[in-house]
Amino acid sequence: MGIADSEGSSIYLYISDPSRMKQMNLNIVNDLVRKNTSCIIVTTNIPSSILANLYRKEGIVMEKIHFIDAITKYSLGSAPADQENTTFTSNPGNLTELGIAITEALKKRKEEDTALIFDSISTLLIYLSSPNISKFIHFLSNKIRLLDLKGVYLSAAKGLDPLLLTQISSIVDEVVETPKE
Amino acid sequence: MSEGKELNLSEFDILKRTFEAIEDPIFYLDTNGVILHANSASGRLLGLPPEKILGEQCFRVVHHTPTFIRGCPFVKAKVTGRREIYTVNLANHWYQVSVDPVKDESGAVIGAVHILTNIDTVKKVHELRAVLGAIIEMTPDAILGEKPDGTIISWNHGAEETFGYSADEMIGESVAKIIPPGYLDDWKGILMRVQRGERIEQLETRRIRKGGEELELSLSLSPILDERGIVTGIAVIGRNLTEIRKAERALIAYVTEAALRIKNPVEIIAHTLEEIRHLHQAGAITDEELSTTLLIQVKHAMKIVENVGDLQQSIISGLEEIPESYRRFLMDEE
Repeated sequence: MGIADSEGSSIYLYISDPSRMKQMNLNIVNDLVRKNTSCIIVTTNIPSSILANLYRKEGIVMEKIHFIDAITKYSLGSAPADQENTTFTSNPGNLTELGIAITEALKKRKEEDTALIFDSISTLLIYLSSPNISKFIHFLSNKIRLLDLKGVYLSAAKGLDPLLLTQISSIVDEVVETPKE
Repeated sequence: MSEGKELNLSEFDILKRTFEAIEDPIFYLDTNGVILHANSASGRLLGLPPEKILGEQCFRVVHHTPTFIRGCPFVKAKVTGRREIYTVNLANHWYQVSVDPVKDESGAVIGAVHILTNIDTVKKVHELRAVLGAIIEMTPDAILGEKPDGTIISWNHGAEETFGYSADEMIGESVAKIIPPGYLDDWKGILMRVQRGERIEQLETRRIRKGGEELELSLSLSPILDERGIVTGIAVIGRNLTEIRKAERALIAYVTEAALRIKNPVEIIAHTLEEIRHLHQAGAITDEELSTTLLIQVKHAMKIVENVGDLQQSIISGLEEIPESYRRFLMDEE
């Protein structure tokens, strides 16, 4: 049973082989949207424009999707002006800006099931230390619980140090490890 | 012994027999150093029959010199009129020589009795003690002697360096003074085991320095037994592991950080690039999207290089033992 089948507010940590990260993102978003759940996707690795194209190809209803793109502006120096349903932040390491963007996106959500999907914690570790990420995950998880949402944290296998993995595992309801192909 | 078999010995005979029976060499010399009397042990010492010794000057048969040796106690005793003592090595044995001047009724020295006592065992014990003492004082390990109740009776230089207390401050104190409160029960248990005669080897525990810093140590405790096998003391050797343990933890932290900040992110980049290549080949993404994704991965790679630099700097600044040439290399200095 995945996050899409869970009842009420729940938070899952999905751990996958690095080669399966993109596919895992697609599967989770597809399942959630099919269950009429809106998704706020925080991306720190694949640009939101590419993810949007991939979602469309999967037949995912894009009205249900909002992106918080923390990587495109940082890499290109500017963000595309015409991209709908997307908030661009300037730097994946700027957690204050990221936190504000998530809070704003959650405020705008309609009265329906919503899931916050964070892709991925392991990529965020390139920019931030484990203790800072741990604090941020606590902050996000409190918000998810308080607003009665669903939450998904994605991570590459062996992408988290044992202490951070223990800390996150104690916050979430389920840890799902997808087998290597 | 029956009266009938008793020998009618004069006092002189008894003394002469006693003189012969004594295992220590004894000489009686006149003021010129001529040997007038010598017992059998003297002959054995010099490898000559006693008759070959008598009438000879002592320095000729003992030291094989033409005159009295420098610092000769016999010469001194003639001047001081008192007993003079010195040690001498003869035929690879050490002797303590005591020279007692013999005086006439007017108090003038008319000769001297030389008694040589073999002190090889004492000398060896002293030498061994000196060697062991030097080893104990030279070692960086803390070496403590304790009474069975933990009262400190000896405290070497290594203990002074390790714990910050001088020997004067610790001798007579209980070793509990350097044990953290949380470890006192453990110590009592260990003390009981050693009191029962058990040896404890390489016990990892903690102690406190004079300044209050906690130390990580490996302790070995041995009971000191008397000839009856009763525990009369405890010998404790302590090796300070604080720096080693700190370095081990730093190494684990470094290896973990290196895996997190290098191996795993590079793996993510590699897989992302591979996926993007497939998507581009399949026409799923445009050239512009390919370029954007490549740029993101370049940014990731640059950040990883920056992270590795930070990690190196933090390790280098924390370890003084790194040779200067490696320090400059790791710090990207010319």
